[in-house]
Amino acid sequence: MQPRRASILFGSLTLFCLIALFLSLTVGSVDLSASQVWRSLFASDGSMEAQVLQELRVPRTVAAFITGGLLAMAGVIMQVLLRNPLADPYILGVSGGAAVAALGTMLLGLSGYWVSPAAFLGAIFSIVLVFVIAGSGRAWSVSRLLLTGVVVSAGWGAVINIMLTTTANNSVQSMLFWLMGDLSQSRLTMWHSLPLILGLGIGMWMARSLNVLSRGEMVAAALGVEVRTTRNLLYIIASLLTASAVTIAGSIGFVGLIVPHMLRLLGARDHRLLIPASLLLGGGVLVLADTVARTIIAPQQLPAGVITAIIGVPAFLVILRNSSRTS
Amino acid sequence: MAMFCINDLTVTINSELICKKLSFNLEPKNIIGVLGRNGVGKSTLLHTLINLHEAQAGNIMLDNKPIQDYPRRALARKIGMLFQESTTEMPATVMETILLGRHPHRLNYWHDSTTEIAKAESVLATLDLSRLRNRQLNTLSGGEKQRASLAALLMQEPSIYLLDEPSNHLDIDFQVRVLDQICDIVAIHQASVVMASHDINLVSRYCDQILLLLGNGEYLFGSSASVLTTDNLERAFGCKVHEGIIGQRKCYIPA
Repeated sequence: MQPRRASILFGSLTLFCLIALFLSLTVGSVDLSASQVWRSLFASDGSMEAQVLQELRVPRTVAAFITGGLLAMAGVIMQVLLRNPLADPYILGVSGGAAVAALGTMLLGLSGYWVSPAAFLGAIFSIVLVFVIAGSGRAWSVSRLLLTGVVVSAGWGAVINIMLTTTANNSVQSMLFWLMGDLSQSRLTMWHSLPLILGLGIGMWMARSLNVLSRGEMVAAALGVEVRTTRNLLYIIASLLTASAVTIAGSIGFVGLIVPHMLRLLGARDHRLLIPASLLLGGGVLVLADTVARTIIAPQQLPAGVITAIIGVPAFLVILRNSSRTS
Repeated sequence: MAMFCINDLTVTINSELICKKLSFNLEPKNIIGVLGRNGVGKSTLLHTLINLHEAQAGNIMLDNKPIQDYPRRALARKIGMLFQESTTEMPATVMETILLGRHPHRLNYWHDSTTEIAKAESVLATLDLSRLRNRQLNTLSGGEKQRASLAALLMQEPSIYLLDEPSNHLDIDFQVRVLDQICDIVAIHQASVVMASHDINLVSRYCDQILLLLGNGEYLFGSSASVLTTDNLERAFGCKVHEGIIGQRKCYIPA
């Protein structure tokens, strides 16, 4: 992509993110004006506006942005790792493992505090499980990893269904919310931004290798990529980004699959652009989706994961249509 | 310019023997052709020469150092390979793909320099690809894809070219143009070539030495004139072969 087009792309993405952040901070059960937001953001007067903003909206908006960014970057990396445009961050079972553990805490009646740590541990367990099974024996191959992941993922799916069908009605709804991806329960800490920054850094550092790896492992090796090290690292990074996202907000679908493709269709195929661009677009899309999810039928809230699909599907189809017309 | 020495190389795949105790030196300006039946192990042998497949025994020395001791990137600056196929599932344009050929070289991380773009433009022009530079890889025909892969290899500028079926999908005009181009590079930059092909006539036209794989680890190695006889070819391919002369070139066709 030419530098001029790249700056236009990043300009528009930044603008999109700012609009999404602005809407997320101003719209809600209490509508705030831009000047109110600005005044209350750092105010310590204990006013209602300041409380709503500082304790509810800012953490939730930041959580949405981080989660979206993590998922989109994980999606980009997973698609290259598996050389499969249909791969999403959850394809290898990370979210399944997290879901079983998270739902387990709900089933046991533990307090909501335990859901996130359990989800993270479940995700890590699944990551290690898939890696060990796929990596046993010398024939580590992409199709083997993909098959292992998909099968483990299906196994988790079965366990989730057992949990859902055998649970008393009152906790099923919170389980379903978690499964569809929901930001209302997320408890944000400073640490959550760490995987985002790390993911961006490592992703950018590996961007050129990702470009080469997209052409296949043999070609990449012949062009100087240490394939084994690189793909192990990519697997670990993509999985950890996904695990972090799932820990914050449950399994929010669609962002990780569609955001990378939208950007590729817009011309950002080079990973040096695609990685940072997907962070911005993924973050922005989820902030917007969450804003819609909590306002559209207020006071009731919808899971953000549902909205990402409802906004994302038509937007993606429009871009797909336009791109096939021009090329 | 690079010295490439193969010593007592034994290569197997799935416990089938491809070559046993194979030794030869590839010197600057050498063009070696590898011939043999389908599945006899031509590609695997080439993969072994660039350390993508582990040899059973023997060693491969590049400038007096075993190829396993080279970091991938350093190896890629010396040896380049044209594969029979590459993945095109992930979207990329022709231009983006051939610029990847510069990956092994020290370059600006964030953007492709104007020298590199200019080099790419000239490579595209020599392979008649200029018009396709912004086309998506997966929309190209087989021959166009093959030329794009060749263009990436030319961008890589190695000293040793390993070509796996370079004439795949190419019409007769491009078969000759592409290999003429490579011969020019060989002459100018003191490069060398090992090419595997199923096309006996193409190999006989361009290669000065021939490695004829016979199966079960047996092989014949020598000058074109000594290896390319009807007897040897009949033994290697298991069918009757006629030899003739068309326009001062020796040609081989199945009987």
